[in-house]
Order: sequence, then structure tokens, then C-alpha cells
Amino acid sequence: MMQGSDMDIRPMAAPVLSASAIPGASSPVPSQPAPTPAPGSRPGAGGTPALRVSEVTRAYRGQVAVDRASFDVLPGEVVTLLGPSGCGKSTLLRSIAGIDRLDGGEIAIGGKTVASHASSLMLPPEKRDVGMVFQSYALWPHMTIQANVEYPLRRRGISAKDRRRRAQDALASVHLSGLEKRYPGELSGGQQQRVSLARAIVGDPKILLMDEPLSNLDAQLRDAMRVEIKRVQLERHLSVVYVTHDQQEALALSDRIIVMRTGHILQEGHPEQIYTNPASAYAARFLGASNELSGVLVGNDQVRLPDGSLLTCTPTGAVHGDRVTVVFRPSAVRLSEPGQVDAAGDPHTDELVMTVEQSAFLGTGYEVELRLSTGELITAATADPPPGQQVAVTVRPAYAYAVES
Amino acid sequence: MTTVMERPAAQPDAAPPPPRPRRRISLSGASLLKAAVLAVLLLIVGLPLWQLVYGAFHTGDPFAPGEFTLNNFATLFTAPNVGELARNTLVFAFASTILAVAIGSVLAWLVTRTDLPWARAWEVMTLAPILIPALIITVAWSILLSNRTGLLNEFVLDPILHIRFDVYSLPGMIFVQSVSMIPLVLILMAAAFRRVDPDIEHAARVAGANRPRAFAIALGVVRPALLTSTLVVLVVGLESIEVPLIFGTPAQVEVLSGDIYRALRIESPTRWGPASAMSVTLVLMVLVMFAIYTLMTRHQHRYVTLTGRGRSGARLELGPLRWFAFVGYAGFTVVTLVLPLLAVVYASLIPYVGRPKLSVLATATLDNYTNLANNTVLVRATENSLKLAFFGAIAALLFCLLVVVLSLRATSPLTKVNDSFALIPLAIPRIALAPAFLWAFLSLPYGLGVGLYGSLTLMGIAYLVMYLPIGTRQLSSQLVQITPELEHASRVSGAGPWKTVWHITVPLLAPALTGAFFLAFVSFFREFSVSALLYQTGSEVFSVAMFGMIANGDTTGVAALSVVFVIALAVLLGLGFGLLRFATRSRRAVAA
Repeated sequence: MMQGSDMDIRPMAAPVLSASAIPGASSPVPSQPAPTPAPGSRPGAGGTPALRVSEVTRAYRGQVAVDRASFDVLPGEVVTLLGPSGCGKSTLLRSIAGIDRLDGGEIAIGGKTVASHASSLMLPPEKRDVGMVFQSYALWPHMTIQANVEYPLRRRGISAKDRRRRAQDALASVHLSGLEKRYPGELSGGQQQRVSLARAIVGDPKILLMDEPLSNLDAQLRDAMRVEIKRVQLERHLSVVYVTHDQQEALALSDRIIVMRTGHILQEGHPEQIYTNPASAYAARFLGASNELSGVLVGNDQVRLPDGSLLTCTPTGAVHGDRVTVVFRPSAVRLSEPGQVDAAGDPHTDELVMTVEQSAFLGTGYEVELRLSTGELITAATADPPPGQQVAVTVRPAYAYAVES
Repeated sequence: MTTVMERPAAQPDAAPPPPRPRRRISLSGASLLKAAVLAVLLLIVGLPLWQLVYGAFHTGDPFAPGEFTLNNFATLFTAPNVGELARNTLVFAFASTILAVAIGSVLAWLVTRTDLPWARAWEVMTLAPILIPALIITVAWSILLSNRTGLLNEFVLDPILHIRFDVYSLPGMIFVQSVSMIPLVLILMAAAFRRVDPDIEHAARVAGANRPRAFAIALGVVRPALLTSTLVVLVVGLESIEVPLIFGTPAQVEVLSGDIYRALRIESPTRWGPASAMSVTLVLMVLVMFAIYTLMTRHQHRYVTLTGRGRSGARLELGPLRWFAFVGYAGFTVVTLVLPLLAVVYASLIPYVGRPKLSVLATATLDNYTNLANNTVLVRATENSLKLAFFGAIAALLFCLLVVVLSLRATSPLTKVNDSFALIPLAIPRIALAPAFLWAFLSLPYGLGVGLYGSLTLMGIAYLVMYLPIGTRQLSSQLVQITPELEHASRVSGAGPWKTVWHITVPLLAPALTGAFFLAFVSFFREFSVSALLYQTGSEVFSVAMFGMIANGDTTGVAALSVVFVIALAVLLGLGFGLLRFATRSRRAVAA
């Protein structure tokens, strides 16, 4: 396996990831240090997992929504379930919360089994010691902010004095002090989101579940909230299951990402590992590799395209047979004038000549649409405008993945 | 699984073969509760309906087992007056329905979609009579339009047009019945018009339609609501006994509902079998109408895209028709609200109703009011009605809330059954419900129900049954607006299902519950048809006592009573709106 070394094509919207991190081969334990390491905030490798999901299955009217999903969340770890809508990630989260039941498998929170199909065990949500942030925030409009945040403590029979103190503390940690007497309807979307987070963490749950918490916010607010969530998570050493369909969110927040598709877990690993080494065209596509060219595998790492040219790439997973699809990100494409020679004086072996269809200036660079002589379209993201109408296209081998067609 | 908020769908049988049977999952508190609700519904809806059909095909009365017979129907359909009875029943119900729907739809369109001046005030004034017992309106019209002594006949129709309109006739009955049903049409149609895109009429105008045609377009858009209103009002026309008893009986215009009343209440011995046969016939007529309605609303999904918008946008400008419409609406309000009110105030101040002369004003007296306090039956009946309305409304609301929360938050095949049972009373005319109730409770084994015979409890249960379809629909339309995530958040926060319902669901429904309580309270207080058949000495209710006074010819006393009622109602409404405002005060909409 080839390891990418050009880190400049990594998305810039990943502030909490260390650029020097080298992803582990397959270890579920994240290996990169946190940006603001607080003592004891590193996920521990040993001990009881905060959450253990084993072989969980859920079906609605014969349609399998989650199919034998298994994973662990270690104490202090953020695990993201990533996938498009309908992939079963929210269903899985609801099963963990106890809002939905199981049709197979077992769930244990903090070492205690809370749901098991085999022994017909189904603890209701209130007996599971979880915190949850809902997509709609689900703040109770008839209660003040203070009452909303105190509610989980009230249900646990905690004295009024302690309730007040802990609610103040939770609101302070999301920077919302001073709004206690207001009602949810009087707050902005971002503030409501913070209240929802404060309510979810106030009872110090064994596991925090977050269901697409940022999807209702506008882009700017979303980036700010993401940093905020990560800060609170590190400060409180929270174990988190985070559900999203947004790859940027997943990359930035997670210690580990689980890619899901139609109820199955496709791939699981460290964010950089998933990003640089997707196991399938599906995973690659979901992480932004929008270009696809099909061809025939030649040797181990070259693909012959229909027009006869060769493309060097990274083989991923087990490729059976020789018909493959090469997937790559727009940012992995380089454009140059055709017919140039390299430093040794030899012509590029894998030079593809393409026609520029359209070029758009996006501020940070150019988005160029290119057409192969055989008709396929690809997109390139470049810093400079294309050098002419006919261009030579190279794709960085480390970022082009040959996967099964 | 005990969660009250379990997801819909989730049918265990449909899942891929589970390795083991799910024992504890299905035997839970929620399932037991659903079964209990079904048992109650079977007792108070299913059993009466069954007993009604049973009684119609058997000899004897509820106290003794009879033999199978078709005689009850044979007697009914071979009676010499059967043709006239059928004709009167259908003409009365259909004619008053057509009048009420036609007028009510125009009024609803004017107040919701046009720039009619004072639209909001007109709407409130048109709706107000729905809170008043129909008997009061009926008496008012007898004061205004009886042939010899009617005020309108004496001072308007005879001197100006040289005609006298006798309200004691089929046309008179149709007129009064339709006036009393217009508020109901207005409620249903106004709600529908408000949901329609405000630009529908503008688009019609731009396309070249004049204003009446624009109205026709809007009416076409709300066709489903138009059909619903027609059906609802038609059932009311079939089940009402106020107008048939007061105007029909003296004029010898008999309708089916009045005949059921006579068979059970006036004739001796009570004709249980024929009454049941007539009730079953009435239920069948309603079912036929339901079937026609279902056929006609088959394609209702075509209309759904039009819902969801509203409010914003300018109303249709009536232009030169604006003041014409204003004067027309004012005239309608004067005739249907102001004149009847003035009539009862006038009648309450005179010693007796005779041929009206101006000199009668010299004998004005407050005796009619002071006599009310001495009427022991009336005082007792008012107490009974207050008790029934208050406790009955609370019980009915709690039961409806239980049915609705179970059906929307813990959906299962069982809750679907419960839902359909809760809607059945919609198809049973009130006048048929009463004999069904008598049969059912008198025939309970070991005489369990005999103690209930003629009791307030039995009447309260009957009220609850009549309120079930309205109450469950009203609450469920509100509950679907509340995302289940609000309840899930409470469960995750450590609250059990009951604590969640109490701390989250009920407070969120508070405005709907308050509104539903007042509606139930008022409609229970004014109830007549069912009470008139179920009461015994000691358990008279307000409307029954009032009917007794009318039967005794004490029109002036009834007029005084009506005035007192209207004033009391106004005070109650003031309090109610205050409370409603209090309940909604702290509630703020959450940005979605």
C-alpha cells in the first residue's frame, strides 16, 4: 500500500486534526494527539468500553434498516456514524438510546447490558443513562432554559440546590449564562443548539448521542458549533456517538469514523485512514472523490482506459477480475500543457489529453470541467487556470483508487 | 417493551426470522392499557350498537329475552303514514341542509377571503348561537313567527306584505332548523377556506372571472370540506328533535326522530321494538350517506397540495359589492341573532304571550324571573347539568387524551381498532344512540346496569360516547403538530412514560385541552336529544326542564330562562377566554 505524503490536498476545514499524524493501519484507537490536550482526556485503550454494540439488527416491515452492526466506543472517544440518509445510522442511534428496539443483537452501555434480543431485554430510555442531542433540538417550548436543562436532574431526584448549580455549570460550559429565564422560542437557532447540548450533558451521561446536531444551522454557525462541541467533549471527557452525513463534520470531530450504507458497516477507521484509503468506491465517493473512470487493471497499479492511455493508481481492498473503476478527487488532478517531457527527458507515460469544456473561477482557485476523447467528463480543482483548450491531465497515484466496478 | 413512544411500524412478524420469541416485549403496561381502552369502548360503543340491532329484531323489552321477529320492521313499513313519515323526514333533513350549507358557505367565504368590513365581528356573531340550547332558538322563533301571535307576522309581514308565515309547518321547521345549523357550516367551511392559498380568487379574477365566479372557484377548491359539512349537517337534521317536537307535533308534521321520542317517552306501554327498528333505519340512512360521501371524496388527495399556506396575501376586494355584502350580512345577523334575542327579552317581561299589542308593555313585570327560582325541577336540573357538564367534560377529555396518546405514540394494530371504535358514534344519530344505551345497560347480566337506569352517570357516559369522535379528532390534530422528539428527549432525560405525558405532552397540549374542555362543557350543558330519552324524575337536565316548561305552555318563563342563560354564557365565555390566554401565555413557538 502506498502512503500519501502530499498533505496539501487535505481539506482545510479540519482544524482539530494534526497534520503530522500518521494513521495507524487498522487500529480503532486514534493515534493523533488532541489539539488542546487536557490531562486525562486521551481516550484510554484498555478497560470497559463506554458503549458496545454487537450484531445489532433492526427491520421495519421486512426492510432491514440496520444489519448486524457491531462497534465499540471507548471512554472519551468520539465515534461518528457517517452515511447518506436512509443508511441506518439514525436508526442505530435510536436503538442505542432505547427509543427504538432491536430485532437482533445486544447493546451494553458502560459494561451494563441495556438491550439484548436473545434475552428479550429492553431497558426503556430513562434507565440507560444516556444524553442525547436531537436534530430538531427538541427543547420543550413551555419551559424556561433553566427548567429545560434542570429536567434530567429533576427526574433523577437531585436536590434543587444541586440542580441549580449543575445546570448553571452546564450552561456556562456552552457559553449561555444569563439566558436561564428565557424560553426556547426567544433564542436563535445556535443558542437553542447550545441549550440542547447543555441538557444532554448536565446529567453526566455514560454516553452522549448526537443526531445530526448541526444540520439545522447555517454554514458559518455550523463551523463554530463544531469547534464548540469538540471543546466541550474534551473538557468533560465525553464518550460520544455522532451521526452525520457531512464528511467535513465527521473528519473534524471524530476519533474514529464508521461509514455506513444500507444498514451495513462498510468501513471503520481513523479519519485520515478513511480519507486516504477508502475501502470502496462508495466510501471514496462519500468522502469527496467525485471523479470516476472505468478501465482494465494492468499489473498491480495501472489501469488502461478505453482510449488506450494508462493511469497509475493505488489499488484498494481486494480487486477481483480486471475490470475496475478509478475514483479520485478533483484536487488530485494536475493540468499541464500537452507534449511536455519530464526531468529525464522522457514523455509522461500516463499522460491523458483532454478538452476543457468549462472553467469557473471560485476565488480560491479554478473548477475545470474536462472531457476525455471517449466522452467521459471529470472535474479538476486547480490553483491556476487551464493552460489551453487541450490539456495534459495527470492524477496523483496516491489519491487515485482502483476499486471494483 | 414499555415505552409509550415506541415508533410506528415495527411489526415483529414482519422482521426477519428472530432467533427467539419475544416474550416480555409484547406483554407490557402499554399493551394492557390499550386492551383496557378497547374493553371500555366495546362496552360503551360496541354493546349499545349490538343491542340496538338485537332489539330491533326481537320481541319484548330490554328486561326480558324475546324471540326473533321481523314484526318491528313490518309494523314500521306497513303503517298507514309510512309514506308521509319518510317524505317529511327526508324533505326536512335535506331542505334544511341545502339551505344551511348554501348560506353558511357564502358567509364563510365572505368572512375569510374578502375585504368585508367587520368580518371578524360578523363571524363571532354568527357562531355564537352554537353555544345556546337549540330549544331557546326554537322558542324565540315561535314568539316571532307563530301564526296568530308572532311579532314578525303582526308588525312586519302582515302590515307590509299582507301575508302571515306560520312557523308551525314543514316550511317553518325547515327555516328554523337551517338557521340553527348555519353556525356549524360556518365553522367547518371557514376552517377550510383559511387553509387555501389566498391567491386562488386573484388568479380567477386575472383569468377574467367576475366576483361570483371567483367564489365558485374557491368553493370548488374546498369541495371536500363542502361535502363534509353537508354530511355533518344532514346527520344533525336527521337526529334533532327540538324543532320536530315543538313545531312539527302541533302541526301534525311527523318525522322519524320525533317518532322515536314518542315511542319511548310518550306512548304507554313503551314500544321498545318499533323504536329500535326506527333507530336502526335511521343508522342505515346515515351509513348510506357515509358511503356516498366516501365515494365522492375518493379523490381527495388531489386537493392536499393546496393546504399548508394561508394567512399572508391580500383578501379579494369586493369593490362595489363590498357594502352590498356588508348590508346583507348585517341583515342576516339582525334576523337570525338580534331579533330572536329581542323576542325572548320581550317575552320574558310580559305576563303571558297573547296577540301582541303595544299596551302590553304597560304590564311589564319581572315575575317570570322571580318564578324561575321557585321552579324546583329547574333548579335541580341546572345543578344536574352543571355537574354533568363539568365532571363529564373532564372524564371525556381524559379518555380522549388516553385514546389519542396511545394511538399516536404507541401505534399498534390494537390502537387502530380503538381509533375506529372512537369514530363509530359519528354514524349514530343521537336520537338512535339513546335507545341503544337503554337496551345495552338494562340487559347487562345480573342487573348490573339497572342501577344506572335514569342516572346521571348513564347520561354522562352517553355524552362521552357522543363526544368521542369530536374530542379524539380535536386532540389528535393538535398532537400530530408536536414532534415525538420532544417526548423522546424527556425519556432520554430519565423520565418514564407517565412522567413524560404529565410533564411534556399535557403542558404542550394545554391550549388545545382548555379549548376542548370549554367546547365539551358547553355542548354537554345544552344537550337535549339523548337526555330527553334517558332522564328519570330527579335526573332532569337543563334542556329537559326547559322542554317541560314549554310543554306546560310557560313560554314567558322559558324566555326569562333563556335571557338568564345567555347572560351566564357570556360571563363564562369571558372567563374562558381569559383562561385560554393564561394557558397560552408562557407558550412560545420553537423555531423549527
